[in-house]
Amino acid sequence: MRRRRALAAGASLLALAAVGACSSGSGHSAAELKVSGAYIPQPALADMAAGYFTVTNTGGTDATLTSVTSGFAASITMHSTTDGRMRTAVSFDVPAGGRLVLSLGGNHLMLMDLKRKPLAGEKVSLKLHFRDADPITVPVPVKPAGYQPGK
Amino acid sequence: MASPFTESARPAIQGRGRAAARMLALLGVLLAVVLGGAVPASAHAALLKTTPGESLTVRTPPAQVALEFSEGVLLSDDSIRVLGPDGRRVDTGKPHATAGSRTAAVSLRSGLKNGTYTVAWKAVSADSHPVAGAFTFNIGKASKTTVALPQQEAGGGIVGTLYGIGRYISYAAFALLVGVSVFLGVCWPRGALLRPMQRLVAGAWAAMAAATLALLMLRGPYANGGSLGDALDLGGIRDALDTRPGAALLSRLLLLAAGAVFIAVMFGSYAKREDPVERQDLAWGLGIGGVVVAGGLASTWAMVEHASVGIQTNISMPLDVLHLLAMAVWLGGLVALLTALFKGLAIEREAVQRFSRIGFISVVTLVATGVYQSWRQVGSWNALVSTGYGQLLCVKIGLVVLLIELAWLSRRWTARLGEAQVQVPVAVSKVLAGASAKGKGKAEGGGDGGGDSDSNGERAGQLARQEAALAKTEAKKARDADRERTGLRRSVLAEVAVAVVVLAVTTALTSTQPGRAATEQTTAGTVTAPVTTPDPVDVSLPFNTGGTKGKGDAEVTLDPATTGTNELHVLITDPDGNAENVPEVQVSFTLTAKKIGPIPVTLSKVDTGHWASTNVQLPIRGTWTMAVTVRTSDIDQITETKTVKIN
Repeated sequence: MRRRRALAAGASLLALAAVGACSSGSGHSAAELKVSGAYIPQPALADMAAGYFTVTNTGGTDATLTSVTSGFAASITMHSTTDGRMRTAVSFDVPAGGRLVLSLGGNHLMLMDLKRKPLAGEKVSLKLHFRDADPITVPVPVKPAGYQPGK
Repeated sequence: MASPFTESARPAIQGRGRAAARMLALLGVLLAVVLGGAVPASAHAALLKTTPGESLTVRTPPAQVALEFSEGVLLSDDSIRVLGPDGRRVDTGKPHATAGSRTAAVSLRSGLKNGTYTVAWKAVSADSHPVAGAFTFNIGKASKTTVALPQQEAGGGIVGTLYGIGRYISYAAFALLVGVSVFLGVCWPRGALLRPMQRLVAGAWAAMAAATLALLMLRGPYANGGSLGDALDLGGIRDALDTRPGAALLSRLLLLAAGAVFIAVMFGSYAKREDPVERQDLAWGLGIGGVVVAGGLASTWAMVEHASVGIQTNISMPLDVLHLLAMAVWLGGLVALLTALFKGLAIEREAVQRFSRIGFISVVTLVATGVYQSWRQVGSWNALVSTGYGQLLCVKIGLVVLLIELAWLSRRWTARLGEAQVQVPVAVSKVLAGASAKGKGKAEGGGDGGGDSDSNGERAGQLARQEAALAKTEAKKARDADRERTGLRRSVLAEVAVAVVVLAVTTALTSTQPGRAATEQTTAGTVTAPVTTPDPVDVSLPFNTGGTKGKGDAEVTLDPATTGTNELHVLITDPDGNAENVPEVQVSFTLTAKKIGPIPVTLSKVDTGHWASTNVQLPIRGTWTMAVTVRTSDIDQITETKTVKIN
């Protein structure tokens, strides 16, 4: 049995902030997860959109992102992209002391069958489900089409 | 009236008649074969709804299959083919259009068994773009289907055939008009005074004008699937003018009007002027005007045909204009030379040699621009042999090689050519011209004149005809006595005959879409793809649209690459590997072996450089050709193809 301890997410934080955490009874310190840089580029149509974020694990235990859900999309799939080979991913690892990066041209989320077309400035709530850690709910801002972080 | 002149003139006329008949027969067969097979199929009309619905299961066999499009479509007899689980056709043929030709339906045979049925359809939408696709539906329950589509039958209706013939005549008349004009203007100015040459140019002009008008009228029924009677529908013509091909036809007509002025000046004031200075001035004007009109006419093709779509259009359109002009100068000039040689018009050695030089430049231009266009249209060696377009192109290349060999023969004759032995004085040729004009003008001309009429005009006409016949006979004798000219005449005749065929093949080529074969592939139905666990297909397509920031890679993933529903992702990256924003990406799938497709994929732009569709329906297993079109600016776009195996 694992004891779980939820870290409170900074509820009123900006989109880029989120919290998560967990711990286990083993000798390692628990996975300390933090979601940052999340955004959804405004899609052309209401049928699908991409989603990106970075999950940082400052704890001592590996964590695994198993799924993402949202009331806004009928289904959300995870895709890995390596050397142009795009695959539906069952899960993504968030190694201890490392991070998982979902970004343009690389790993990403596909949000299918959206309720409606999200507009820049709105926020979409995504729930990230982990193995070995409690789920994290992130308010994700919709950015204008063509938005690229740091550009 | 059995005058010795008419007697001796007859064999020559008969011989020419036979040659002409042979050529016509050959042309007819060719037109039937190539135009018949190359029915342009499919377009931008979107398939909105099908009955029965795509992939749906119905309990009882339906009486018909109906397709509803977003706009009017043109159907031919084989537009909708319904195939049973055993691959046999179960439709009764001849689809019919209803509701403003937006709905097409084909009846099914009765007593259909349970199983999966495949519907392959194709049509031409109002904007002349082809649309095609395929889907399956089930009766009772789904089953395995071994669909091997039957051989496509030729057809396309009388309107389609007439349209093809109109296009051919336009090409040929353009070649004649430009080629003979150049021949007379540059190589043989004296020839512009001779009536047969003038008739050649005037005839070409009239043929081109008539063909263009006819195409304009046929454009409506051709694009909308109407009947021949619709050609007279003014509203249809007005609608056709709003489309790009219609506008091009209209510009062609206007340019032809300008061309009429050019011809009038060339045969009128220019040809008759003696003063060298005045001639020089006029020559400049004619030269510039002629180049503008001819270039303009050529661009009415370049702007709407294959050169205007696909990759590097900013290079290919001017090159296409060059290609057309070089073709016209060479082939039209050949016909002019042939006419001069046949009529014994005593063409000077220098004129022939001058044409020989111009012809050589034209051939080099033709081959160079032709090679570029071939590369651009076909792209790969595989496509050259595996697609109908490529095969047709091979036929054309073979014919052109033959043509160039004949041209080389002609050049040898030209090099050995002596000065014309019998200089037919201008006076004689004027008589000749006058006689034929009169002969044409008189309805009763050609009858046995003796005693019928005492009118002076009649007698003068007879006299003129006799003189003409005499002149002709002498000219023929003179012409046959000249070995070199006879040899040249034969090789030029052969050249012209091959050129007629080349032009027909080209006409077919311009109405054939790469990948949509006019020739049935013998490998059809022999799909040997082993059934393995579904494996997504990843394809990397480097592209270069030629514009600024036109280079990059399109990474395409098709998952799971099986029949049924697939997910497709396209990631456009710049040469550094970063996602690149482009205005448009299109993907379509074609199963050439079974004549299915192109099935367009509705892509949704997910993010910068990322386009996707979660609902790519591929009805049958096989090696499909995936065409990815990337547009990087308003004008720069390219289509790259790759085959993908669907299990």
